[in-house]
Amino acid sequence: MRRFIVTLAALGLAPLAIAVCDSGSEPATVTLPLVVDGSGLGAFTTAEGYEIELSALRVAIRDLELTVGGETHASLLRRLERLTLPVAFAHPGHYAGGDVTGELPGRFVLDFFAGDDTPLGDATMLEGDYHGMNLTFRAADEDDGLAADDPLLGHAIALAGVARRDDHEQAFEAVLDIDEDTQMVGAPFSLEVRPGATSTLVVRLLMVDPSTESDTVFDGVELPELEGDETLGIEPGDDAHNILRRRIQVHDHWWLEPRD
Amino acid sequence: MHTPALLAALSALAHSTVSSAQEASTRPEPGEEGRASPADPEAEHAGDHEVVVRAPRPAWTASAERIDGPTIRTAPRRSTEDLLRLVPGLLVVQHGAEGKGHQIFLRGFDAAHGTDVEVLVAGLPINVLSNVHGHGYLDLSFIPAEVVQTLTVQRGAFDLRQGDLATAGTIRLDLGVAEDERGGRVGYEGGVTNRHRVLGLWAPRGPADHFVAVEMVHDDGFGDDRGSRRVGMIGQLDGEAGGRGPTILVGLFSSEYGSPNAVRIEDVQAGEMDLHDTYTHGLEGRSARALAVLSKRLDVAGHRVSLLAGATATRFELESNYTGYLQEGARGDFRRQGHDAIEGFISGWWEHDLRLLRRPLRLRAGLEWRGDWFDQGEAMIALESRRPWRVDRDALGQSHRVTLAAGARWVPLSWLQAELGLRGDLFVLRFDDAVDDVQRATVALHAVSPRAMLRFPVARDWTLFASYGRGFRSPEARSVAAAGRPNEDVELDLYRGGSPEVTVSDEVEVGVQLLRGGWLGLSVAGFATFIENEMVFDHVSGTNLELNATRRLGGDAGLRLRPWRWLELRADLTAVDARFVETGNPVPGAPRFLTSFGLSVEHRCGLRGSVTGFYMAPRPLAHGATGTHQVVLDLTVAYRWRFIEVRVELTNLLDGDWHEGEYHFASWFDQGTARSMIPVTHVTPGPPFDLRAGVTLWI
Repeated sequence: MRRFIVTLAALGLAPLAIAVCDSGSEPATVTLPLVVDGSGLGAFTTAEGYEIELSALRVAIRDLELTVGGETHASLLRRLERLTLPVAFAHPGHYAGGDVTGELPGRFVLDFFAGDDTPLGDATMLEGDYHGMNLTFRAADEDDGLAADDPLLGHAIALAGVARRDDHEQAFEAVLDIDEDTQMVGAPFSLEVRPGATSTLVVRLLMVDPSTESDTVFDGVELPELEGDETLGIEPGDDAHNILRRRIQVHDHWWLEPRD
Repeated sequence: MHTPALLAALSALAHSTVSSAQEASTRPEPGEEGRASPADPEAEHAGDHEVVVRAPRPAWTASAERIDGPTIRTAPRRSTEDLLRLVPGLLVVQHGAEGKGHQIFLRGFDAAHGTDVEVLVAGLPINVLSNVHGHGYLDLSFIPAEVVQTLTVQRGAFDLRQGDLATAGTIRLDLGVAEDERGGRVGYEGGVTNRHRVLGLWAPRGPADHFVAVEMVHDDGFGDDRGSRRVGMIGQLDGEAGGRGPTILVGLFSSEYGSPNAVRIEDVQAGEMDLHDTYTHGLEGRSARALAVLSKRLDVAGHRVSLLAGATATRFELESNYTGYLQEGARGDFRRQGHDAIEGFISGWWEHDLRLLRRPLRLRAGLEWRGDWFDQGEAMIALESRRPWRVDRDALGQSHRVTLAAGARWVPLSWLQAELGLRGDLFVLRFDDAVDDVQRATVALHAVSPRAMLRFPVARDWTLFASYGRGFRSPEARSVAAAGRPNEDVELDLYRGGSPEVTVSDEVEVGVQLLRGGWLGLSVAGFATFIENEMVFDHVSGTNLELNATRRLGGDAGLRLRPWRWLELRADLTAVDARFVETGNPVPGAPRFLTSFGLSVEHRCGLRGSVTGFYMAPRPLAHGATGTHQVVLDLTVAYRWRFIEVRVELTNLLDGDWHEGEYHFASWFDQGTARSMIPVTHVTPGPPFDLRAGVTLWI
């Protein structure tokens, strides 16, 4: 009996030999370059019949965050996905993307008409199955290196282009204000990040919602026709401003595309 | 059938499971060691006037356990919550200071502060539903450990009486003072952490289990901001002993405690922080409780009725900051939560013995009501002034549960005993937040829970078990107002955040138990728990999150040896693989492998003590991180000579830097460094080597 007890006690103490001064383990960290797609945006047709062709689009943001798939899901969303949405364009809902485990902190002005891809920096990411991207809107300021007469100065978004309907062509310029610290949450982004990954992550702002292939940023906007070559200005307070702001600040039109 | 055999069979049926708080210790219970049962079926051959002490009777499931007597008395403890460490496979983590409710892990569940573990004290459910800090918040500090007579544990939800929050299991604390401990006593305990504890306890000798205890504690704690102070009184009037009145339990309690942060392990490794430091200072928590419980058992012409009525009023307030300045910038993520609640509970259970096909049959039925009313608030506060600068919640809420249950125990064959039952629970939840007009709603939900337990006493000392049970967890009241709330970022028709639902778990368990001669007990069980859709209210986003399905597969093994009456050896082992079904990812935080042992001595010469310890294998954390090995050894030695007892408790004998809590999240405490949203491992340390010594005088 004594030997049995001693043996049993020894077995109970055996884990002492195992409990080394280890400090657990962290998931592997990967860095991937983030760029802005500067190739411009093609023309598109709105629900009101306007053919819109943009010539400039810049957005002032800060702190890009990348989120893993997580363990949450929207059951209603899943049912809708199967009925109406192509799986390839599966739409994460709020918090369906899970936790932030990747980031590129900093202040950026995203220029979607810069020509080539504009590098933003290297994102630091924990290995995982990524599902979404978040970013935070801000007002551009002098620290962004903008000229004193730059229309983006003091605003979150500046865009310009022409709208054609029937036989009329109307040039327009718009500056949009978004409340400071407003986040765009859950832009689609699908990538399994593992040590050794080499993809380049491309930030895109799409004027046509890829999940519907019909909804556009300008749906609901009516542009008054001005005489001559006068350019229509869209500013805070205008109905068009509010529609554009509401559409651009949600994730429907944002996309983070991994490119090998 | 001969009368003695009939009585024996009825007596066998009378051995109930661990679920009934009202079943008196005078009625033979399964698992009671060393107690004679004159109506033991095996005694029928011993003659009408002989009493044969047989092996302890097994419980109704392989995972039921009763912990009492020497095991409790010799266990090291700062508070009653430390006694939960005696429960096999259960891990309790203190991520604050003594006095704040522990975080509980059991059978692959991260039960947070009690969300998946139902706890009863003298039959009264003690979890605070919809608590602002955590649904089912549990705090046992109001009970001096000296009046905890038994801990009975049912892992899994198999018994008919297990109710809300018992998805991982149920723990019941029965209060009282052992016969050889009765009398008046005054005790003082001091410790190296400037701990001073005074206990006054009076439990008059005699058959009645009356007692009154008063406890006061001051402790500076083992690290920054881990001090605590508490004062409490609890008393019981045992009306059952005289067979006349009800048993009455009353208590009053108040405590204050520090609120430290979890430290980033990289800061500890870099030498910038000590494991026992905290980033912010001066945050505090406060708790208070008043409770009253009346219970009465009646036996009228063979109809046994257990009645209980109880009420508890609780106050909870906590200042905390787990993320530094990550969310709110320069102001800091300092938060104050407050929750005032009143709970009312009425319970009535009926039993009656019959015969079916000449075999013993026991019918059971129960009716319960629980009502909770609460006033809760949550605000961001300024560190210096403690003034709120943003109120996030100022809400009133109610939750009501009505239960109707019925079941039967039958012994159709000598080698088969069965209990089948069904319970229905109806919930009505209401929430009204004055801060947000959108958050006002009332919802009715229900749960239907079948339960089945089969016991096969196949041989003299061997019993096989097979059980199935559906457990359930009500949603917290706040979640009923989140349903339908539009999220600013997503089109309303795409995502509403889900409606509140009762989380339902289905669990099966098989096991075997050997009980031999009162000196050997061995049990082995395998279990599987499935949750199809686990609804969690996310406190950050204010939405209901429907988690992917989970499954938990595991096993328990336990060994009890009592080679002599004064010596007990225990060893337990639990292994669980808890995963999300869709992704295969492990459930964060839930220990995969936990083993514990204990050697307890309680000798009639007056010597008592124990050596206890546990080992936990690295547990999975969120985002693919893993924790560390944990090993802790404790020693308790006490000696009583006549009217004086001296006791010494040494905890963490190895003085290891062990991580009681391990988490993986993002924080930003050092504003001189770059802000990062990337999560890293944070830990809350377990106590380092600690010495407490005390003396008790019996009056």
